[in-house]
Amino acid sequence: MKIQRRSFMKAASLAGLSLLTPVTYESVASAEDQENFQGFDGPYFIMINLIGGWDVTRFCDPKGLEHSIDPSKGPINWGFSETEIINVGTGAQPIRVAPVDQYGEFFNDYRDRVTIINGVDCGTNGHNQGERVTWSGTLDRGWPSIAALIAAEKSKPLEIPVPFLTFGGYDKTGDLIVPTRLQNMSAFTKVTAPGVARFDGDTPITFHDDFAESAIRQAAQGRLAAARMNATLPRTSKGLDALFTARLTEDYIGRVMDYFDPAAFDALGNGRLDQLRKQAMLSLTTFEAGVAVSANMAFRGWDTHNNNIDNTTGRYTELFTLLREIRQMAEARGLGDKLHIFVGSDFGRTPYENATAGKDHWAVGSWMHVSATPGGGRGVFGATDAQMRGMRLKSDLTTVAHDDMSGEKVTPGLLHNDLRRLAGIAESEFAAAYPLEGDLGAPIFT
Amino acid sequence: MTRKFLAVLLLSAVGVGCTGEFSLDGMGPDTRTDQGTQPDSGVDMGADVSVPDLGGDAGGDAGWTQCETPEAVFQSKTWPEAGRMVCAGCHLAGGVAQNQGSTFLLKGEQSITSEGLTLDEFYAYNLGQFREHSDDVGGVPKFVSKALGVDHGGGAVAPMNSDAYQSLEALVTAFETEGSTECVEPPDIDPLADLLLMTPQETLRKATLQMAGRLPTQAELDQLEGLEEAEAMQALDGILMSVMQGQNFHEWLKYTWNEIFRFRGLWELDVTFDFMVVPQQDFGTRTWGFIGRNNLLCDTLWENEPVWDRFGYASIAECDNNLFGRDYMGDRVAWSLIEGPLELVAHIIESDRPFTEILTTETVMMNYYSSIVYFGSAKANNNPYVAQYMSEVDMDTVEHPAGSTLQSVTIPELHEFRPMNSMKRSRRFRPDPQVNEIFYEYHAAAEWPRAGLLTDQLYLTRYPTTDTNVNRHRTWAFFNQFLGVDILALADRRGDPAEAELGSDQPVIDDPNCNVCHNVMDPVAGLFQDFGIEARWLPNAQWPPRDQPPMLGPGISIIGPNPGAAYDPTQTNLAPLQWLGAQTIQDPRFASRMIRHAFLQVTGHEPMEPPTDLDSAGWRGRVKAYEVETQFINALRMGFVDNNYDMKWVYREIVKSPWYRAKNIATPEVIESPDRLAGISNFGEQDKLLTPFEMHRKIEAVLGRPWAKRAYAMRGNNLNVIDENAVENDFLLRFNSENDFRFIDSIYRDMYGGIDHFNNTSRLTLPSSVMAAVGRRVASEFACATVAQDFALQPRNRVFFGAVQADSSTDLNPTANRQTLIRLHERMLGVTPDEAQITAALALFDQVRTQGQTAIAEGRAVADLPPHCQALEIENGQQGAFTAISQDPTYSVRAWMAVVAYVAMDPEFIYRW
Repeated sequence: MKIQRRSFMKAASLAGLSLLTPVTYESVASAEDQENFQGFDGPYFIMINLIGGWDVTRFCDPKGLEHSIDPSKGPINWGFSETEIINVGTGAQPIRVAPVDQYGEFFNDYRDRVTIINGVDCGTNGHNQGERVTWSGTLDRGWPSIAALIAAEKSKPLEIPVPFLTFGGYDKTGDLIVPTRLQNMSAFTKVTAPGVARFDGDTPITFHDDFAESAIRQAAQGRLAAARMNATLPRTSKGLDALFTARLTEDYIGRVMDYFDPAAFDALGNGRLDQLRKQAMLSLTTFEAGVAVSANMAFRGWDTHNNNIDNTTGRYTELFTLLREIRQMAEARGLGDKLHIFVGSDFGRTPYENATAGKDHWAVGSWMHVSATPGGGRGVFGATDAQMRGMRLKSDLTTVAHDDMSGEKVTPGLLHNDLRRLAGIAESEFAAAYPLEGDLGAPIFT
Repeated sequence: MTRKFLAVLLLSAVGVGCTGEFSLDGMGPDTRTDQGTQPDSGVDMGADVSVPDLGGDAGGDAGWTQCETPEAVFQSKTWPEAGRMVCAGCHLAGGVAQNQGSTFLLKGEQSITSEGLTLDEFYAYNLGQFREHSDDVGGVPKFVSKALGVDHGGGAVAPMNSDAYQSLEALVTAFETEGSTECVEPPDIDPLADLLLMTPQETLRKATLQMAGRLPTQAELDQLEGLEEAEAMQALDGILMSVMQGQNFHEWLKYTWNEIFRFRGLWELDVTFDFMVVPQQDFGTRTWGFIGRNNLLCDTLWENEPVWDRFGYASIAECDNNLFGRDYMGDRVAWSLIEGPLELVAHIIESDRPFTEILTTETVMMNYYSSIVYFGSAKANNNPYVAQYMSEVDMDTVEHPAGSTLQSVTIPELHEFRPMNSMKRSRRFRPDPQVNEIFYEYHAAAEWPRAGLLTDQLYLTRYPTTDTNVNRHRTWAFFNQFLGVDILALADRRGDPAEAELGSDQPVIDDPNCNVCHNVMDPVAGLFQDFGIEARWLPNAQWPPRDQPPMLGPGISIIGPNPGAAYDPTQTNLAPLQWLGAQTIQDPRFASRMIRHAFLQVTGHEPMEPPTDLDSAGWRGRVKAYEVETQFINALRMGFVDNNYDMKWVYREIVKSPWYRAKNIATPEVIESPDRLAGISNFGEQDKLLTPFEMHRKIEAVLGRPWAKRAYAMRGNNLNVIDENAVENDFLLRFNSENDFRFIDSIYRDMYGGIDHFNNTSRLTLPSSVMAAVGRRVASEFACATVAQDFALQPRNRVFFGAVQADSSTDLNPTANRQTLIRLHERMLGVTPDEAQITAALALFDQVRTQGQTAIAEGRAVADLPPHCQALEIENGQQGAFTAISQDPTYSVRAWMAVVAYVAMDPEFIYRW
């Protein structure tokens, strides 16, 4: 644990440098630079943060009415028997799920891309800690989310303007990268064309003539560079460098509009699912434009302390609708085989209901991966035992009892190490600065 | 340099010469103040402007020998490696270990501010705990054997190859050699002496912009002219007292305390009726209307007649200002309720009342709209606000089941909040379900004991609870906001939560992994139990009884002078939350937490966390920085108490401090020393962008008038049509001003890294590319709305361009241009430009003007100003004769627009108040 922490502090120093050192203070992006823009070509990552803690027994880790961790607490699952549990995977790679009408056509279409990991022990049942450990791989504070880490590493050689999109959830960056929030797209043209006061039809009415706009920008960057030359307080240097870098890549934001469908976007409402659709649409638009690497999606409504069954079924129905639509949108954009989706939550929920038919927090939950690779799904790994404890996983990916030390506890850190490998950043500078405990020695995600 | 040696470097940095005293009268004899000269560090940065390397080897400040006393080793190694990282996880007072009977009890860094300890005292106490537990167990000191897992409830926590173990081993060695080592002290570090501070005038400008949303007056600046530092600070103190007045200061207080309490996040709850922010069961007298239909109906038809005409108004605008109906009410009532607790905090500060009243006062701030909720009536005989402050509005006519009845009245003022010392709950009911008539039952005013924010409806709504949460979430928020205790951090790492649940029917009581938090949290949650879901008032344990297992009985757990005391209504006449408030304000952590809030509000930065990184260079400097900052905060805390919890005193002291005024290094040597550079790493401000609210206020201050709600501009090619909504439709920088709520428009807010205080609570403080583009656009919008509009005034009335002409067709007067550039810099940035800056700005002006004239001559540009940038009518706040300007044949106006946009893109403009 100490090594991690020490390394974090190293990375904190790195953080300043990561923002600072690439800056040359020589020029803004030229027309030729824009012509030769090299975008990011994938793979892309969407991390769906199910905020609140999901009841995985109502999806991928079902037990059934017959099972209880304690008869006085009632069954783990009301509403279905163990014999009714269905397989939405294949014969070779079964995926046993709760028999609830909530999956739509998702598994019919994409079962070959799905991997489930059950018995993931978050080591906490507090929301803040749960979000942190699930998406950073550690309970330590201040570490970057995996989406930020991947974006920081992958965008290093490129000048892309919005490498890490976030719509909420755990989106700390460890100061490795500046995140971008895109929430209100109704005015996005005001950003992609900041010099245009208004479009009169297709005719831009600008604040300044083009030659004036260009002169202003050149002069402003020169002025910023001069300020940086005189800056000596570290905070000042950091702020100026970030500003300079942001201005340098600002011109490439406009590429988003080439792939953005405002009519489709505006047709969406403000309900939960439509908000998520907007997040997905913006993520995929920026991926297709080559200006982003990863996105953090925030899906609220999983903290089902009351009326768990109804609330959870509603959320799962929305989740699988969303996942299918993301896949379809990605395929329509030619990104189908470049997009990894990970689904996770703060933790799981108790294997019994409380007095208000809800379920409270439980440290053990699951993860889900929808692979970019056709046939990349590997079915289910890991498990919980009859007491809903996380079983250990051996290097051959078989499970052993929760106290059998021949296996590894399935922690978010262990999964993150494999996710880093999948993303090709396991040996990177930034990943090395944030090492995680847990190594299975065998890949899970493909 | 080895790690070991590095660790030793630290020893005297923290252990020698620390008195724990920090004078608020001065910042030390060597603190430098830039007396008005151009910022010049004297540092020749040369061509290479890369940031000095803070990583790698920690060399640079050698020249003195290592000193491995127990104190030095403990501070540099054992505490950070083992004490804080391993032992404190369970062994803090009140933690798991104490629950299990351990006498090895440590203090966390929080105690430095909460108990007013010096660093020396803090380390001495904790080292003492190690000394007291160093008796021999099997050949090693007890604290070592425990760490290895011998007879240790926490098991093996420091394996022999771990850093933690080695740090314990080093302490053992130091104990063994104690007294035999001669120490040579390293050169002292004084971060405050290494700083160049803003001048008093610059400081005043910054504070006035930030808090009062205006520029300082010349008279205010003149009071500081020529004074020595100490005199200047005294004078500044007096000026700040007058700065901290007025509506703009009031708005800043509400803004900045909302950053702490986040009441405005309630707007994200899909509020569609006003009663959704207060419980209808307690305030069920009326549902005043829908949210979001605030434009009333003046411009629509009602029974085939235009509404404004039907009511006899001369125009839609006149109707807008006078017609009043349910649909108009919804937004105003909800806004008034949500702003209420922020008004209370502002009222306490502005009226110089002790800040402790935020947890004790019975006062509720009301305007007309919230008063009709809190008194359940709009009638003067039932509503003291109406009786006392205004004439009655006939709301019975306004209220109508169909929701469309309108009433012609004078619309009550929205921003007129008054302190009221009573309120009544009311209940709405139907005596017979078959009868569609609703009755109201009014309760006696005295029924509801109040304790400032703790009983505030909006506080309870913003921090809700559920049947199974039973007020623990509110308790978590309470501890964090008012005491600085993060309950969740008491057990960041629990043994095995699932195992704990499996091992007990009541793990929150039985299992040490659970009760380490619940013992602290649940008694206080019990004190909140008069309030239930939706903030309903449910006294007398109508809703899960406060002591029903697994809840613990109500009490104050770790709070106040008598921690652990249970609430006993036979011993106090205070209601549970009143008692909690009274106990809390006696806890030194309350004052400490408020100081830390204030530090963040004024400087923009959280106080430092204790430095922990032993590997990187400059650690010694960071420790010193932490030490002086902690001393300052401790001094503030004590002064806060001595000054009867006067928050304005705290704000003034922070403004006068180096943490607010630092702008550069004092001498070039500072950057040659990793330690000295690290010592100033927590000073300066330009790594935090101004927030959307702050930027908007700064622009209005620089402009000297309100930002136009509606800029008048010609639409497209139709020069006969004035587009009254050009700003509303086309500018990013705008208020959502139609309802006069004074909120920054949400689109601009969202695009500029802003937060909604509910779903997004973490600001983006460094610019992304999107934010950089927003900044560029805002700079252009500012230039567009400013330049021609200024030229349209007579020269003596202009803000920026009094020295030059807009229509000069000949060569411009270089002296006048130079004066104008200086004026622009001083007004917009608060600095006098140096020669290079003037030259660059003049070059930009000349380039754009010359190219523009050529473009006009060649037909590539027009003489007309861009439609949005024409000055057609005098704006609110402008004075004197006005000559409309729509053309710019010499391209001079547009060249000045370019210069203004360029200056508005300066980091000084976008980072600094």
